Amino acid sequence: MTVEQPAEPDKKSIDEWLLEHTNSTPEGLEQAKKEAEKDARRHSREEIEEEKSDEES
Amino acid sequence: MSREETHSVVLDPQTRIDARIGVADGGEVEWFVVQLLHNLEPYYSEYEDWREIARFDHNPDAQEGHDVAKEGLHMDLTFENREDEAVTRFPSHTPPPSDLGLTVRYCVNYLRNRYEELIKEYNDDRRAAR
Repeated sequence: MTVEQPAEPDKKSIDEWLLEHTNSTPEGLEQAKKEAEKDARRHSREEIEEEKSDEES
Repeated sequence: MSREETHSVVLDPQTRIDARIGVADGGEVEWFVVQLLHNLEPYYSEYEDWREIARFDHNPDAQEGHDVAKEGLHMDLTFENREDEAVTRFPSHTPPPSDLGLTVRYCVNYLRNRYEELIKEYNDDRRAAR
């Protein structure tokens, strides 16, 4: 899919932006960040294992 | 009616995450789209060719829109050479219907952590299709 007009980068952090515009709390955002890191690590690990398994077979 | 807000996170000169949300007066996120975007043109080029690589979205009121509260969270890999392929297992995060700002934060951080792998996969896919 081609994207016609990407938005201009913002100077605020994603946390500042979400705190300004939504009802999220700093604690909740920190927790969501950790959850994402955990799942990203797990998916990366699974893909490496899958590639190894494909190479071996 | 919700107001629309947009935020971009630059990951490198060729890659960014765009987050768009629809927010109600009380700060509830009613819909969102979080996209990983990559510019196929070299950074020194005067041209830009931004492509969507992956997307999380929630928009229960739209025709064919997803509802993460009912369906759970998933990420679409929007490669040109494949049918949309979805990554569905995100066991650490259950989208809280009353605070989807947290899910937006989750999606941004997930893409931030995996963007190099996703772009490599996208480029490998394009090369294989040639």
